[in-house]
Amino acid sequence: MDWLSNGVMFAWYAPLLIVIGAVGAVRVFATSDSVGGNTWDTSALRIARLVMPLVLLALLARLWLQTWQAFGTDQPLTLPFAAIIIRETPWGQGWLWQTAASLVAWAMIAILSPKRWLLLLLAAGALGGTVGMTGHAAGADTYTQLLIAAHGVHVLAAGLWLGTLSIVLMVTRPSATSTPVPEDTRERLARAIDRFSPQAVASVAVLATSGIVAAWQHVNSLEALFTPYGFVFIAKVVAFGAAALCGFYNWRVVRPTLASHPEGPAHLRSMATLELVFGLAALVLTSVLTSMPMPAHD
Amino acid sequence: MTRLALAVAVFASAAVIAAHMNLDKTFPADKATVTSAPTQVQLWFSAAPTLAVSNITLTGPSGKVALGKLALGKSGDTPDHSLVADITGTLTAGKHTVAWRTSGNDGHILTGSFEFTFKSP
Repeated sequence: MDWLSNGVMFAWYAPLLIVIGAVGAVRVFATSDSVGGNTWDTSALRIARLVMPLVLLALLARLWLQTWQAFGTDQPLTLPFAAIIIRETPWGQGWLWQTAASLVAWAMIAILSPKRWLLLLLAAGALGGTVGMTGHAAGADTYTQLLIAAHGVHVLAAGLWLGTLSIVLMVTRPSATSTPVPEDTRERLARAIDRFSPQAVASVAVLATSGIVAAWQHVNSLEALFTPYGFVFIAKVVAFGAAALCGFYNWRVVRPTLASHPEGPAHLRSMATLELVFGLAALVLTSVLTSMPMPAHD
Repeated sequence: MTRLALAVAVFASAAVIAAHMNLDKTFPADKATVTSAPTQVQLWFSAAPTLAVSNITLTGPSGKVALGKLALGKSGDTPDHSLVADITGTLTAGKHTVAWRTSGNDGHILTGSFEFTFKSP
């Protein structure tokens, strides 16, 4: 059943990060898109609108899985059982908040225009902010709210870094892969990346800080690193480090040459793709971690 | 910078003292031999168990032994992070297994079992 838990968690996290990332991309494109007729910010918002229903479907899948696991696979899976989970368990209360936040976010993303990117970021904040309510942080005896907030901030930062990067690559692909890339397109792309860089750097810093918090909570002894949870955690840290290293290279080496060098966009695409591959690996490993028992349970 | 360092310190200290749910002890104790029939089984956890998804079964040499309604245990008037159920069936001499399932506030389902032996006097 572990593979099912991992799969459902991944099916929730992936669209969540894409929606948060798409909203982050709307902010990134807010100024670079003002010149010319290509509406990159609208395209980014369209992706958020398309992916948002997947977040809600994944939430339903999580409720189904939690109900199944709680009452045993020998029990029939019925709505009354699901209602017990929602009404009578702390996990269910957290799930209810997540669902409410997702519905509000969906409505805001559907209604608002790209110009309202600040409000859209608030919607993304609601999505990310409630993630910790059904995670390991919610099981902490002390400082629970603080740890739930740290979890939410962690997811939000991941979305605003890797999610936004994936949307930037996706949305700019048609115009940034033509050969040669026109100078004005390179300049627009450079402006967008200039706006993305501080967002990415801040997100990596927040990810690392909130990651340390989570690590201290879940792997707070050296012995714990030599458990199945610890091994997956180490693999995640390595994947995160590799993604951050690629990001650093893109920031310090590729970005300054983007507007001036004809090969700049292609160079950015290849390095950013590598950054995303490592980021995806970290996401897969996170999905595994969230459904694993913590070291203390082994 | 100082504020950032302070925030990290607060986060870190909060995390260090955060506890995770484990089974701490049971009554009867795991692998214990008892000569008088216990009237209830009780399991203490390191954090509050969620009653709605908790379940305990007791199986002896003659099959399942009936248990009363599962409840949250208390020490005085204060909940003590335990699950308790009265043994309403009759124990026969021999090895008994208590299988349990519960979850903490994080929803992670925990399962386990422990054994005790009843020797009739």
